[in-house]
Amino acid sequence: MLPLSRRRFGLISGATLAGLAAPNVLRAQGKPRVVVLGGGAGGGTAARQIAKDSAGAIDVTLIEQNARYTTCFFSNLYLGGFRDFDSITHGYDKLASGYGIKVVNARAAAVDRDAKQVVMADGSKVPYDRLVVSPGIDLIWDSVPGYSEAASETMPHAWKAGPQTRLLKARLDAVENGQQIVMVAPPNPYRCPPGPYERASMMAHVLKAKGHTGAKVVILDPKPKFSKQGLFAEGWEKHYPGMVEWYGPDVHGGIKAVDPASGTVTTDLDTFKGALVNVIPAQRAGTIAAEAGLTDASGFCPIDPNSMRSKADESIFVVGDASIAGDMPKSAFSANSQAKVAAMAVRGDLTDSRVFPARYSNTCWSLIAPNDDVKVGAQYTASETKIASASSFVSQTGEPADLRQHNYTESLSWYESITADIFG
Amino acid sequence: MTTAGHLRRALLAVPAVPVLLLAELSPASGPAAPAGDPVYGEYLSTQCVTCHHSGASEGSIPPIVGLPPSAFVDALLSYKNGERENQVMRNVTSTLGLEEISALAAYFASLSPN
Repeated sequence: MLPLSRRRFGLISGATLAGLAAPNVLRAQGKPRVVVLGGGAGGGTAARQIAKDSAGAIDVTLIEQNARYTTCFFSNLYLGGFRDFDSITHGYDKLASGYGIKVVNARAAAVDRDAKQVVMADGSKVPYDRLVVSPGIDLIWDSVPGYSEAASETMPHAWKAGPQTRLLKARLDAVENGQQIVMVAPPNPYRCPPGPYERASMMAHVLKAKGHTGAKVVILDPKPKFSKQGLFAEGWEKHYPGMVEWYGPDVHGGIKAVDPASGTVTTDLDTFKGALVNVIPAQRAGTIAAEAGLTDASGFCPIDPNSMRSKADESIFVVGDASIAGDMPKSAFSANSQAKVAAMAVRGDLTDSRVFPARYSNTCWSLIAPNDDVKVGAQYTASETKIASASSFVSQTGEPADLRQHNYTESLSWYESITADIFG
Repeated sequence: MTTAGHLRRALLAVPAVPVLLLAELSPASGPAAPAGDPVYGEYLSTQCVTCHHSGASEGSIPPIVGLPPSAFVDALLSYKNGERENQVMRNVTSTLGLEEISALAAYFASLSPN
């Protein structure tokens, strides 16, 4: 993969120099065409923003395999019983009817960069002048020995929302008092840094609400520390004493294997048996991005921090979890923010619209217990080499209950707004 | 909150901004709209609507569409100056200069709530 990528990069670099002489790609016939791959937080936002702001001047096609999209963000609240599944599932009707976006619910098989077209699984071709790639993450199944796609039916990951989320919820609801849930947390970098720990909180909440305070959640983590660690530790002690245990690598010594048949996770320290085992493996950019030669050795896609433009291809932008976004975490908020910068750059390429300096933003809310919500956030700008944090904040331990409750209601408002921003 | 405090702190935060612009931004300067660039404001606004519903939504994050410019500027400056509480908004406004705030005010004032 790497040699091919390098060769392609060299070819593209030459094309790029030629392209810079004429930045505006105004097509001689018909409107300029933008194709967006992936209908999640990044892709949905990019498609809507480009269609809305270009007011019909750009032909926008959104390719997404599934007709309905379940958001990973807030899926932990579904696990905790705070949301129903329908409320975190969205369709694309409004993007089609309200913004004139051509929504194609079919699988894209490949990107033919030389011909500037997306090749669909059925062999049809979708040509583009600019392509926005937002495939999210793929799971590296064998990053946890013994784990596989088949094993995920027994040990759900639920790190891509949908049927896996429902499976994990059903399994969580079946855990009895005195039993143990084991979570294998992912290594960096991964989607939603506080997500595993919010999930453990929601698991403990479900158990506690049923009076199953003799059950517990054990987190086996390949990382020595994690996002909002002090806040989660404080919350677990306050709300779920003795119910959540976190072991870093200095304690467990390394996660060696999982065995779906026996429901066990083996580490250097011990073998942990779970009535439910939730394995969240290592992650990389969606396969279609890698196969298109857009990734580097890290498995993710280098981008220009000023525009989200791929460093491998002048005509392609990569947004969301698949991109290497410097200081930004992989989150729906980040993807939404990056998509807006990419949309501006795409419009600048294809029309005479103005281009402004890139600005990015992120906030992540995490629910620890009912009305106890913490948050972390930052503003970002483009430095010479990366998207860099310009200022940041994080909730503090010991904060008053009314502030934490306000954070929760704030997160509910945010969900309504960002999903409207993505799906129309 | 004090307008003088706003002006003083804003001036300290953005020393290059002409005094005239500060006067235009001041809520005490009367009904005059800030001379913001609404096209720049439209781009900047895309960050706002991730949390603030583009219509008149219910919930703890207030709608901001259609706010009079003076109220909009006053609100953002009060976060920027630390006079109003909210971690997200204090963080957001810490990276907004007066050019950005006036551009946002001009853009949001031009919209009507749905």
